[in-house]
Amino acid sequence: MNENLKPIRIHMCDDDPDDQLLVSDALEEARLGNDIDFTNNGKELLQYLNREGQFSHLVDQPLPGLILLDLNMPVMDGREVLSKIKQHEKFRSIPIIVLTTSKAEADIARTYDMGVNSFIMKPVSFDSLVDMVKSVTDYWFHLVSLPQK
Amino acid sequence: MKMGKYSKFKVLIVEDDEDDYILLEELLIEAVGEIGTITWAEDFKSARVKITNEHFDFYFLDNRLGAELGLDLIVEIKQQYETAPPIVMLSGVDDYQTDLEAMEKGADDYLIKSELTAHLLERTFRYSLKSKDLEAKLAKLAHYDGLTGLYNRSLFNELLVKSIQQSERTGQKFALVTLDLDNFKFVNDNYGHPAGDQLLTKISRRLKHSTRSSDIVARLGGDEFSLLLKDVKNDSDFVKLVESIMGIFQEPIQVDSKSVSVTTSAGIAIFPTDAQTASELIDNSDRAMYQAKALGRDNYSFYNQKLHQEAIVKHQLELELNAAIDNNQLLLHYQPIIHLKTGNITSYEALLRWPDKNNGFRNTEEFIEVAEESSLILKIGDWVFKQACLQLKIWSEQGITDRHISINASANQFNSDDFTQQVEKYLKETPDLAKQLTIELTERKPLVISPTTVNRLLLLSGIGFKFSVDDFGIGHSSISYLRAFPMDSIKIDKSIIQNILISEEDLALCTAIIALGKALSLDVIAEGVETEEIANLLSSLSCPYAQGYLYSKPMPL
Repeated sequence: MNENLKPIRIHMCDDDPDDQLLVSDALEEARLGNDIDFTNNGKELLQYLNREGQFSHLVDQPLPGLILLDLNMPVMDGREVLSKIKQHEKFRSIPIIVLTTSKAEADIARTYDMGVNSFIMKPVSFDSLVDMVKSVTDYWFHLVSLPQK
Repeated sequence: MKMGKYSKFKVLIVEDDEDDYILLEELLIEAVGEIGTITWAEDFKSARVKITNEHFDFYFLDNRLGAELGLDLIVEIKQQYETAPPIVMLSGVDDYQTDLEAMEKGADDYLIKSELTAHLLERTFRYSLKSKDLEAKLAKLAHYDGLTGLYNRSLFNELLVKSIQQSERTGQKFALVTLDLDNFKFVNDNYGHPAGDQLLTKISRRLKHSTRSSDIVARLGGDEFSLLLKDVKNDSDFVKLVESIMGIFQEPIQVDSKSVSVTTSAGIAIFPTDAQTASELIDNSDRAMYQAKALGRDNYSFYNQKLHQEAIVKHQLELELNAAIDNNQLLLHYQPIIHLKTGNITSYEALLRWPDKNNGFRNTEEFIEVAEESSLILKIGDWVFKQACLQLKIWSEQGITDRHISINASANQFNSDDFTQQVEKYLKETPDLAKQLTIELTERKPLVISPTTVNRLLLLSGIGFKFSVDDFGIGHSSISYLRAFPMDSIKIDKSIIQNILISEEDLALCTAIIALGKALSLDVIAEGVETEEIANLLSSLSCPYAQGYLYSKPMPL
């Protein structure tokens, strides 16, 4: 039980460094105390989760409690990595929120089909981003009962 | 639900009665669950220290604290914050007057100790936090730009006035930088307003991260940003900071999955150099910004053109010097120090030279001054020390072990442990080299004589270094150096030596310094000896050592 007292680590996979800055600043602004780390595309995200390559030093660290995922990325995009994660026995239980600017309806439906837990449009203003980050963490960490690993 | 909610919370309890404190702590945990840390301050004084040095999320203040009142701490807490966290007063008695006064001063609640229950505490905790949240939200609306999260114009103006007052008190300069995006209208017109907003938000984050936490970044409206840059050592630091701000526009910005390039024009006005009031400073910074725009955008301009030029020249020199150190282009020349009686060379002073492209040398005084103003002097200090050691090693391989080298050190090298640690590490295998090295301290940039600096000098003298006061007789602190630290020698400044034949005062001064040296058992070296006549006179005054063009100019070895 005590384990849960520590704010859960959030991972963000997004190729835009400005968006990475925005989300980590918003977390700080919201005084949530969650640690956040980043990868730049789906391939890196898989390496990160598997603790391979440049992430091998994280081998003893617990997996993130939540993944914020961008859809349009180079090398391996969000959809591809999403289907890989959701088929993976160990990673499939990590909640994934797609955070994107893409509004296409088909996109939304398709990603829910692939097992995404939530689909959120990136807010434009910093204030609403702070509010969003607050709601997301409130929702996932205070209201939802997550399976014990 | 209690679980984890306050696990990062820091609570301060100011209470002079330990039993009351323990009771409150227990009740609090019972009321709201696990709390990150609960800190106890048992009297007014220690509470005050904690309030000024630490941040807490919730304050409980007992009113009776010996002779002092907890009420008076409320003001201290409020001073620390824009919107202070909740403050709850505790009292042994239900005193309406105190209750009113507490509210007046800004306490969020007033509780009677004997009536405390977990239930009551829980409610107070919740309500105070909620109302604080609202208060903070309102303050935020009034002071922050909702789109970018930066300060807005109204708070910026307040902070500008505060910065001016602070600068008048401390004498520290600061710069007002006005930024205006060059092609924002194009983005708005072609990609739509939401894209424009996205662009502004992202630029804001870049601005925030390219500046230091002491800098102030605001969005005044539209595509206009203003910054206050403080804590700079000299004008060329402003150039450095502005260059790094301009640098954030190099990388294109993604808006709506499209890559957009924007540039900015920046104007810089410095207080108090360029203006005496806030509005004058804003006007001049604006003028400079328009000047930059007229220069062809993606440019910055200082209001004060002369300062602009100087700062840029210095900045350039700094870059070149840094490269010269890295590429090992600096040299040491050596000037012998002569024992006047025997004419023998007893040691060499190592002098820094920077060759230029025309087989000459850059002006040493000029580049050292620039180095002193930046951290380059530390890098140079390390380099000179290692170079001198290499020379000593070469001599030692040639069988010469009785030669000494003096190196010039900057006071800045003794402001931290870096230099002494470097030296200790470097000499680990050849500790005997230290005995052949003298460190010359000049008083042009005087050393701050504090116990820690003296300890650093003592450490070096403990491993064998000797110390010398350079340019003795022209500064103000020569004597205080001698009192603060056991020096080994003093070097009479050449402006005195060169006058001893024509000025009775300088002759008297020279004689007195030689006598001073004798009385304190210090070696005395006359600098700048250029003629036989002066050398003879020095001999007759029993000055033991001399250095100057008469014997040799500084030469490569």
